[in-house]
Amino acid sequence: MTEGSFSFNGERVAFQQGQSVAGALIAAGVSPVRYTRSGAARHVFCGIGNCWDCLASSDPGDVPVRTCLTPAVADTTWAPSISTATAGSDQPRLAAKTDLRSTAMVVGAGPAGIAAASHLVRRGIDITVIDAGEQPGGQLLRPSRLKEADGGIDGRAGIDIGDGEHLRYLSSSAVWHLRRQDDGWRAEVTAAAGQTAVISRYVVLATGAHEYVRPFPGWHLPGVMAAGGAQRFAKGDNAFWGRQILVAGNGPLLLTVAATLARLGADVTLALDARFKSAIRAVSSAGLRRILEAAGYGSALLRGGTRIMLGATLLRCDGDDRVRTALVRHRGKDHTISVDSLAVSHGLVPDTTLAVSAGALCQPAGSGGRALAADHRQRSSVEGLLAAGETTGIGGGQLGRLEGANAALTIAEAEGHPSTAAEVKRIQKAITRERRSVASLLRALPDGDWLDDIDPDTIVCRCEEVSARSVPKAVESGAWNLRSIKALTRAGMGYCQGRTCGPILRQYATRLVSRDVGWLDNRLIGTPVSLAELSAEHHDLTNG
Amino acid sequence: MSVAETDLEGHADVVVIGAGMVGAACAARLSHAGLNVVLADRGSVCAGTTASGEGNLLTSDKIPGPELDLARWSLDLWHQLSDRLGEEIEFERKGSLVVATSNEALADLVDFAAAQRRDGIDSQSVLGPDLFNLEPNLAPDATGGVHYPGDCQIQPMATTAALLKSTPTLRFVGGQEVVRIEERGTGARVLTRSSHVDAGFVVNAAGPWAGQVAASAGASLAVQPRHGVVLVTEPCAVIVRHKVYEASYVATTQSADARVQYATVIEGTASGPILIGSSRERRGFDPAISLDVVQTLAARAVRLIPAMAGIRAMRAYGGFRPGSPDHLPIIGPDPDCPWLIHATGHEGAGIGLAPATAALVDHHITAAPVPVSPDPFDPKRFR
Repeated sequence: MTEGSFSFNGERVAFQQGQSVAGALIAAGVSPVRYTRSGAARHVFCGIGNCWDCLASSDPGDVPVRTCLTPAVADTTWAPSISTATAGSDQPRLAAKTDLRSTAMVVGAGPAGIAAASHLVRRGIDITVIDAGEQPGGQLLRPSRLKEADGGIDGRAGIDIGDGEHLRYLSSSAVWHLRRQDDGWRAEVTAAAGQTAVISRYVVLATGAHEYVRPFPGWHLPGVMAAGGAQRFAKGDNAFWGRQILVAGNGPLLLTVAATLARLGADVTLALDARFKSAIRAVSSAGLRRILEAAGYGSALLRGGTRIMLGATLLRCDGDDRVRTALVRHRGKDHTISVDSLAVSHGLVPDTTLAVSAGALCQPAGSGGRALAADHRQRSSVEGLLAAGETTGIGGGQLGRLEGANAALTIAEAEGHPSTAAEVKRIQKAITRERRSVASLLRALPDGDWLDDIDPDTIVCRCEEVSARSVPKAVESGAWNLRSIKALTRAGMGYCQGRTCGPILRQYATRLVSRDVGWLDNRLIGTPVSLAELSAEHHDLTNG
Repeated sequence: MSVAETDLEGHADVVVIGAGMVGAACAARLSHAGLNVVLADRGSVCAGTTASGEGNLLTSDKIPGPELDLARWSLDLWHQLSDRLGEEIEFERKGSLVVATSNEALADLVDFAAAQRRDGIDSQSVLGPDLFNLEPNLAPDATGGVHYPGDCQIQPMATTAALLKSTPTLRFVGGQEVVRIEERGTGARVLTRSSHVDAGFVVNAAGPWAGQVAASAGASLAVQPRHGVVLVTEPCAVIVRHKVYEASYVATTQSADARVQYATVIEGTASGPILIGSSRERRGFDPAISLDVVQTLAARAVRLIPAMAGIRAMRAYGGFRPGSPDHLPIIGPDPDCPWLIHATGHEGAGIGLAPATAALVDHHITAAPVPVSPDPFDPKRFR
């Protein structure tokens, strides 16, 4: 049902109610969204606000924004970002910054955040939930537009955080800085509606994960998306590119994506890579529920006439202003597949931005990422800071729910509302059980063998268009850690601040340097904020 | 340059400690002069201050006297080097506009520029509409300024790498911290935990850590770290055309105040982001970047260039400037250890002063002639 239309680069684009600008562009086949500094065409990639590839400006002179996070509004005018903001003659008029106080704050409203929030509210503890999404659910619990009920783990409707008395919910809001203040924590929050500081004694970090996609030649072309993004637009916006879609890589998410797209009428080829055989073994050992899930997805795919290639490797894709073909190696033969779009995934990495800047201890977590180290009560190494869900290590929605509840119990106890021993034991057992079943699945996911044969022209930092060959070149010049490699190549300096390339570069540099190369996730400014907003409370212009 | 992760070994004419811009410049120069040089660093190339600055080659902020003479000579050397090293160093004759925001500051600035002009630094006063023709986005209440067309900029890391690449005979040994330097005859033995190399001379180019290196040789050097932060914005279309900085900048370089000193410095880059500085703070070697400093830098930038208010800040980085007790670089043989040549204390001017520093070090080792007197920079002045 068309809600209205907006203009993009002079072209009229119709959109449905609730669609994002990016979703509307994908559904209408409008491309590109932006041009890089070198003039290359780009489009939506991650689809969830991490990669910053979908930038466009809604008014000349406005700073470019992520179209995947921007709701489509009728009769607005958009232009592709050309990678430069322009100075405004109008000063942004900022309302005074307000301080919001509560006993606890929960950052992120995915399964873990929602669980933490609802358990805290139930125990009468007043909380503020700060969420980047327009509505609760995170990535896993997006409302679906599909007519059929979704049989999988991500079809939960009726998310209920609880009601208003003990709860304040800040949606479409991002924490750009988190620090200790007095006996508690202070979060600086930016939102279109204004800026806020949230002050509380406890923080539950439940900021989830972002997709890990290994680089391959052509992955920067419009139409190539991370599988999670493809899923989000298909399920949430009824939007996908053209007709022929290749879903490739590894991980249970790919089955979901392929099934969703098949159900929407796309012509899907599913290419699961060489680790698939061990994934099947892992799935079988992970318990009945997972076998049923796999079987459910499998039958949906087969019913839809999807071509399934097991043990296939995506080598590259090619195209001009958008992706046109993909090359897949299967059973010793190379197959060229015509595609309108690719949905690719090789795993997930936790979002550690706030964990690192808050000073919490983190540890390596696979795929070149790291996770906040949490104890059995979800506590970090820093007082008053807890974490739940993917932030503490990739484990899926169910584990996130359990950990969220666990974190809530810990805080409730510290606030004089202890749980019964039976309650605590029940949660701990459930967490242990869930971790065990997930671990066997995660062991199947690949890590680093793509480096054996990397094409030197492959882009490794999408934002700054840094090619793979720059990395060994920097190391040869004496750059032996990610900080130096970043300084020499500009990799990690773009809008996404290393979210996409960090894990890639960590793996690559580690292989070249074989010592600890450090990380690229130390972000003092967690998400870009205007200079006006950054300096809002500062009037001190004098020295001394 | 041959890169070795391995140990120090054997014998060299000179061991240079510190693979930042100054160390690299010294090592390259001495190597080109035919000496057998080893460049050592406890980390990788540009692991310290060099990666934390903006790559400025300035004469505009130098006080007439030895500092200005050194800077002018060094900038000439940079022009020659840039021809040799090529495009990747991003050498740009950008020019600076120093802005005063009060009549009193403007009068001081104009006097200062006149004194510099007498020492050969080209500049023009810019008042009224001329000021805004040069920089249209300046705050309307800026009273006036001085334009210095000669100021330049380079990309520091790329330049250091290029310097070393241009010197194939130079040996670089990284990841090796010098723990002790022992006098041996007329030279010294430089020791790490697991290896050593004997040298005729040792050059101390360890920047803010030069005091530690001196101590490892049983000498003393009063170099103290002065922390600074740079705030980086998203890529922008051109908002400022020159390096623009407040007239109060020079005073902050000379200040002995331990509290954070600010002087707004705004500069566009070839790749688009705008760099915002500057802060100077004595906090030992604590590298933490405080939000307070970042917020103040942002506020002051918007004060000077209001059109930047809506531009987004993306990241911030920090580093330590090597501070010298009298704000002049320390270049020359240690009074107690004549084989130990200090090449440090450049505060915020190390990139610009690197080639001249290398030439002075060369002079101290090989007696190569130099056009400025080395005496004002001699470490024995502190005795």
